[in-house]
Amino acid sequence: MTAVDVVRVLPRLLLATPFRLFAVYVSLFCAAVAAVFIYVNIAMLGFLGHEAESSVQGDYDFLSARYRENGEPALVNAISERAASSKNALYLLTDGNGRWLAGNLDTIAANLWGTEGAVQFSYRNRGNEQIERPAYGIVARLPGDLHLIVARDIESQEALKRLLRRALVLGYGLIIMIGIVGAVIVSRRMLRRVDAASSAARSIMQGNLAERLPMTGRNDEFDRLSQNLNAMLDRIQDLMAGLKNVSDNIAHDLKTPLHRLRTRAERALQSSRSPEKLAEALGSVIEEADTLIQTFDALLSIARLEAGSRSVTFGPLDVCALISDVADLYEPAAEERGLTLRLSCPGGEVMMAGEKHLIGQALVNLLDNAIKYAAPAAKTGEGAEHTDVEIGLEDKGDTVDIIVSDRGPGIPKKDRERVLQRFVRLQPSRSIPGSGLGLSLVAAVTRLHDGSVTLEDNNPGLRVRLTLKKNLAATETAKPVEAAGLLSHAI
Amino acid sequence: MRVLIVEDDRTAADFLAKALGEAGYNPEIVGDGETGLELAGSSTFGVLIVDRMLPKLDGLSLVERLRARGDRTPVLILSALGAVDDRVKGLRAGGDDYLPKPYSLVELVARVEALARRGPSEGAVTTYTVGDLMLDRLSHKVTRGGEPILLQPREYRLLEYLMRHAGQVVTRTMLLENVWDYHFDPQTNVIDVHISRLRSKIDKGQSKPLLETVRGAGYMIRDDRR
Repeated sequence: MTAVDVVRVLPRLLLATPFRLFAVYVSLFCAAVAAVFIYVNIAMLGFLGHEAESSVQGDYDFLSARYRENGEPALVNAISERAASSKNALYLLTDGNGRWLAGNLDTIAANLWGTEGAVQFSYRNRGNEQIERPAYGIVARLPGDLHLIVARDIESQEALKRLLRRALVLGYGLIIMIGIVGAVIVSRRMLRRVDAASSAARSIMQGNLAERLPMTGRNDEFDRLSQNLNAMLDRIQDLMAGLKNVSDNIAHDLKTPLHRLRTRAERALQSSRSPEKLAEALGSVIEEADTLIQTFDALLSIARLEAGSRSVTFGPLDVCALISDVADLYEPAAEERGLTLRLSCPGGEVMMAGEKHLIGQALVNLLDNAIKYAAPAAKTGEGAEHTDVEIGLEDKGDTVDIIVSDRGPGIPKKDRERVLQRFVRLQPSRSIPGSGLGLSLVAAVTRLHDGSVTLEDNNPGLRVRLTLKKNLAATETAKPVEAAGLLSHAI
Repeated sequence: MRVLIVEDDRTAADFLAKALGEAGYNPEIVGDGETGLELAGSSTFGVLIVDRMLPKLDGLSLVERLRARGDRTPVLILSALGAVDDRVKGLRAGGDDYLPKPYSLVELVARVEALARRGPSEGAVTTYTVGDLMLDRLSHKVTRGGEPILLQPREYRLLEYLMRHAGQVVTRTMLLENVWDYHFDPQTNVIDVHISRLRSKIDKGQSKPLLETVRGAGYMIRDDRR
């Protein structure tokens, strides 16, 4: 990092979250260190001070006792002995005029004599008179006009104090320096990753949908965040692709009939034919318009079911009664086309929470398909066993399966997922009318009922299995449709 | 019979008025909910046709206020919203019928007809007669020229609905809604097949068929001699 770099990134670094966190952390740490230091200082100096005090007091007691018992010569002897043997013990005995009698102190500040009791003073050592040293002692006036000072050199205590103070200043300096350096390093690393992520996001916003947030492979929280955001982006990209696909399909599948309608009307207008011919042309124009309306309705229904723009009221529903009803509606139509519609219901009620008309619409779509695709096979006479359309149910406890099967051409395995999408029609069946929305609507309805659609092989033919959650607790309560949940399946 | 059309789309309302006029009604058009409610209160109409989305007062509130006053005039609600729950809301507000846009004029006129002819004493009628065809609502027996006809329960209900609206056009959607209670469209001509089955039972071998197909609209049961 060059100096220019530092100047450039410094304002941003100072604003970065980790830097601020570090600053707080370092301040707290400094406060803690200060508290420890103050405690150590007080405890240690207190201890040492007490030590000096009690030894001075002991010394003084001994000397004053000696003087009381044996008089001045004994005191002088004792002081000389002690002064010689001890390194930091200080003594001074003078007469009333301040004349030196004994001890290892000689120069003394005159004002000391005015006081009595415990004092702190400085003295100059014999032999090395340049240096003043601190001392603590007791000044006493003995009977017989004698002055006695018993003291201890406390230079070592003062040195310790200075040492501690220096250690504190040095320690603070170190902590703050390490803190700043650490904060800068961590902030720069985080800033770099955040910057990488935001530049990726900018690129995505500019339309580069394939761009993804960078991953370091360290599997830390940043990676996990990126991973999730990337998964979200994948989903969005899928949805966008689906949406584009749908709009392309809408353009194609709605424009084609519109074009047909327009051409038909135009032709009728141009050629001045008989009123009957005109009426016929108008009739087919209305027919085209109706087909278009149906396609629109189906599209809208699917969009509403999938976007969850409303809530659907689920009521208790007897699936068995519903499929019997639908079978009853379709039975004559099937028979007319040479098909047998069989109903298999194990008997008795099979209750679930659902919307009758939606599930009914889904079943009607499936039967429409089954009859539409099985009928041609029936006409070519591929054998009696190939003419059945069956609707039935399997009660599985928590779920109920509604099965609609036919003996038509079926759907190849590779296309089974695809046909559930909007506007997907398999190529060979283009000759049979339809919008390509029937199965997508079925899929949307089952998803709304927490269910799934499975397309199976009926050997030959197609078997559609709707697995629906019974969800009986949800009966009579409006089911709020979660837009997100539905969208994740959409398209 | 006077029919009040409460619809803010002037073009659609004019077409509607024209079609109703041709069917023998006397339509009046108002463009917003408040005026509609006022007019419905101040004079008598046989049927009200109310669009859901209206300026000043929306269609559902209009119907609710009308019903709160004790006015029982049949109401047909028109709506650009066709979904099942919207329909339920419309009927709950007090509407008698609900038709999603875009509708066919034939369908609308047929429904207005059904509403207009719906008498208050309908529940008390015990037999329907069309020509020599008789339906007894108490014993569920159907006879033609005195000969009993055996019908499946569903065929009976189909015939009952057709005979209740004898002389009126009944559309496929009306049959699906009233006989099967389904509010959605099958692609296949399922209703036609049911009708042709019913027809084979009541009209087969008879010199004068009663059950007619009305092209582009639906079906009608009637006696020509009337």
